[in-house]
Amino acid sequence: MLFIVSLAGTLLTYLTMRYFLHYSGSTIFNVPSSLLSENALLGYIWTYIGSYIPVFAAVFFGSSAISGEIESKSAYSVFPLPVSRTTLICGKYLASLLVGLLIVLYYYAFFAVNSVLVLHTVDLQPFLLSLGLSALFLSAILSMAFLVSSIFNRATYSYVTVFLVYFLIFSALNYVIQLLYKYFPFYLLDNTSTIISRVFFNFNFSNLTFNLSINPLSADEILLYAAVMLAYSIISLLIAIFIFQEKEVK
Amino acid sequence: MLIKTASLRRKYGPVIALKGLDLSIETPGVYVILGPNGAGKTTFLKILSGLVKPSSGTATINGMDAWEKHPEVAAKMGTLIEQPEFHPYMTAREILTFHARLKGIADIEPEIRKVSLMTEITGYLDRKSGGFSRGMKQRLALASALLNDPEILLLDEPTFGLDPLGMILIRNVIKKLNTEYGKTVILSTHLINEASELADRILIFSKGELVYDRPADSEQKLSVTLKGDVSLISNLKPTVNGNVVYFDLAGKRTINNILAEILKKGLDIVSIRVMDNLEQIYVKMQGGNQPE
Repeated sequence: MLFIVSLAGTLLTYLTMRYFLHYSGSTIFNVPSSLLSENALLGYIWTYIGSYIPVFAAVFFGSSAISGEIESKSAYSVFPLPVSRTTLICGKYLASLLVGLLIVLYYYAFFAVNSVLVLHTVDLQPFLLSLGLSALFLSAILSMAFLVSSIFNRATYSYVTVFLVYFLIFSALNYVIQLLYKYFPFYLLDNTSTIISRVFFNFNFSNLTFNLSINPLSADEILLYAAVMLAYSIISLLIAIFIFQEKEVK
Repeated sequence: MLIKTASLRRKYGPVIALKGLDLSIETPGVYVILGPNGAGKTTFLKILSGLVKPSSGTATINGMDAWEKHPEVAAKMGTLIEQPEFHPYMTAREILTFHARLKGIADIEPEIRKVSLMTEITGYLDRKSGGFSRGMKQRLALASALLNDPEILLLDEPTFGLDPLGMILIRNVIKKLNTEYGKTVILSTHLINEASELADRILIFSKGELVYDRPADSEQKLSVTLKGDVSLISNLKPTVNGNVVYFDLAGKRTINNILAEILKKGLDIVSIRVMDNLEQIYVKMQGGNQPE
């Protein structure tokens, strides 16, 4: 996981140094480049790519949390120990969250260094906001991965299911709802995660009805999206705990 | 009352693994469960260790439900179920430390030293479990089960995959746990000689039912080859086959009593042998004929 993040960070660093420094186009996403701050643009690009890191971290650490223990038979030595199932799953969740957070921090450190090297500054407010929202998104997608993991007895099924739900089912629902009802379902987790980069530059690829604005997001909108992610975290984890408490190791 | 099950049933889809098991284990000892694959041995042990929920009926340990009160029940129990695996990147010491922490042991190092000496894994403590043989994993699992001095040990085929020396070691540990420390050991096995060697009480499972439950010595016979008139000892009610006579050793009848009686009648003893009848009983209980 760390290797993937290092690779992405290095590649983005190269592209930033190679092209961003010398960018002289007149428009970006059809917006006159004179209206865009370089900070916002650099932040958007880095955090847009970075918003996939929590997804991979969650799949990597969360999907096998329960199902992997059962598949590898380590459950036979761990589950009979005198610890409640709630303690076990919460301990695993916190450990995964901590490792995931360290990886997200590592990526944001890459981003900060690039920003300093290229623009000689870091726009601290959106940077910290994006970092906080990434952490929240990580906890949400991790909860979802734990929920899936508590259902299956094979880690591979969990990996595939989390990927399918996130990249296929959510995306399909997103476009179907938008096309049928002309309404943007912000509560689908992949849509909610767009907030991570939109704190820099309010542009949303997923929203077909989106009126492009270069104005920053409102505090209310950020709070709403954060609340959705928090709801995913809590509700998914509670369901995962409930399922795990009833889970048998046959 | 240590362990009690009442009408314990467990179904896996259409397959009934346990058919209303009624069993009580009240005194410490070594209880050996014999039975073929699919007899319900492992399901029974999994229910007791909180891995599987009964479909109906109850399983209690020290008066507490094995599933509902799992953490409390498990605090006094050590388990070795199926052939457990361990996180391959962790050393044996790290695994034991992790398990000891989850068992709430305060002074971990001396406890690890004690159980690793008992199971003879001291030399392997700092090696990663990913490189362990099946036998070493079994020993590590037993060491983990022994952490925190459990009152009850549930061992599912503990000598599976071990070489002969490993088997002897594990059997000696089990004997010692019972004779020196007064523990209750419930173990399942396919090996009849292992059952004879270890058991205080033998439980035979067949197709999800407990079909035999007796003290281990209740089926032993004494075979004596004599020189002289065997009719002189007809009062002992032996089974006679030429010069060889057989005596059941059930109840208060001891080898000493029988031999003393024979010598009193003036007969010469050529040879004696204690025979274990368990194999025949096992075959009979499984409803089949003994293989040729």
